[in-house]
Amino acid sequence: MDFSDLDILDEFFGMGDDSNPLMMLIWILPIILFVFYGQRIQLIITSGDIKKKLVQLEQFRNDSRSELIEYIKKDLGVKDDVTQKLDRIFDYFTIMPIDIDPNGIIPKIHRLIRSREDTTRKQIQLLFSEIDTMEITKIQNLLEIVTYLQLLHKIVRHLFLTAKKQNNYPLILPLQMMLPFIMEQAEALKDAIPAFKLGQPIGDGIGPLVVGEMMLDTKKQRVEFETVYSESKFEGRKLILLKAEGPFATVGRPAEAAEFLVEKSKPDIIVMIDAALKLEGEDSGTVSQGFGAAIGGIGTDRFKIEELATKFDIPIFSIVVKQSVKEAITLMTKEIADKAENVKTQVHEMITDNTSHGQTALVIGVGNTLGVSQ
Amino acid sequence: MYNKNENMESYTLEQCGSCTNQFKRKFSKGDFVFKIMSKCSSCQGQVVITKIFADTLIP
Repeated sequence: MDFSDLDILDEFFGMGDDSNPLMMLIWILPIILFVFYGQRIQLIITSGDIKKKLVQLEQFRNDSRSELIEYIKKDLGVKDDVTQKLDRIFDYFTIMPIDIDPNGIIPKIHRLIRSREDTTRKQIQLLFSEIDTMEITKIQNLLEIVTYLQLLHKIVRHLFLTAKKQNNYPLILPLQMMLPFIMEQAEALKDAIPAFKLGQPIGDGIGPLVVGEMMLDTKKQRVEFETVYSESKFEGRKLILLKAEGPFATVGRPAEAAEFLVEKSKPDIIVMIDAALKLEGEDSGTVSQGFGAAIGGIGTDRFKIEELATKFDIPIFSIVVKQSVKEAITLMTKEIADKAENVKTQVHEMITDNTSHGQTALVIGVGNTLGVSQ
Repeated sequence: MYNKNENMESYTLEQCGSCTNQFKRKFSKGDFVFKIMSKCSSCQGQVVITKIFADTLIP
């Protein structure tokens, strides 16, 4: 057969003629499609991915909710139906104080947070005829996990549905960018549940672990709600050791306790030990020293400690152990636990380097002391 | 994809205060760090839980 004479191709696709209308249509149609419907196409593609993540988030929320309800019913033997009460607690919201005039906002936030904590604790106590502090604190933390997962799910769903409803592609872009970080947090929260149920130490507990060891064989005294302190000596220096009361799942009230102890003992330095989020590329368990108050949370505790340090002119030194979000709230890894001795040595060095004989150092182990006594 | 967490197990490390002998075992409910355990079998010193951590599963 002679293929050199196939004019049909030329006729339809204008191989030799640029002005063929069919060929022009083939080129122009996609251009028109992308100019007018490009964003919608992108929206459809992005939506598929977000929808999958949204289903996953909902699953995390449902699983954590079921696990908590099951824990209360099976492990703690509550026979009444607590589901309705718990669902109400999961939906608690906090209205932050007005910040148009930020002067004096910190005490307002501080009071608001404490009020929420106290109310939740009372609500938990009301669910049981008898419950010990360990279980109250564990349930309080588990409640926070479910509440936070529920909030994440609601926010992501709201942003997604709004963008879909309005066919607004630019609105979905920030969500698409933030979603990997949100999912990382959500997965960490979901994975944190077993440690809280079993009362195991979490990565965030490295500060209390170090200070707890330093407190062994000393007289422990309660200084604030779920917060203990003791005194000891090290190379002629007086040490005031402060941490949340373990092995409960609590961070205690370090700022209020520090206020009392600084007024009482007038320390010459404050040393804070805490877990810190590592940067990508940094190794877990890396120990770093620095200056300033190493304490997380909403910021009120840090504010109070900084105010104290300024008022009494006390330098604050910090030692942090780097870890990921997941490592901070799940069972402490071996890499992090093995750093406790190293951190303790660095605390002692810090004290000897920055104080002289007869001086006093306040050492605060910051973090959730779940599964770590003293 | 290899998931590190799939092979993780929680362990409790007990240490004698006198002879510093260490004993690693699987975590059991009720364990917490600095919990006072029984007397040491070799020197009758006080055994205390010094660490609870996640580590790769021992086959």
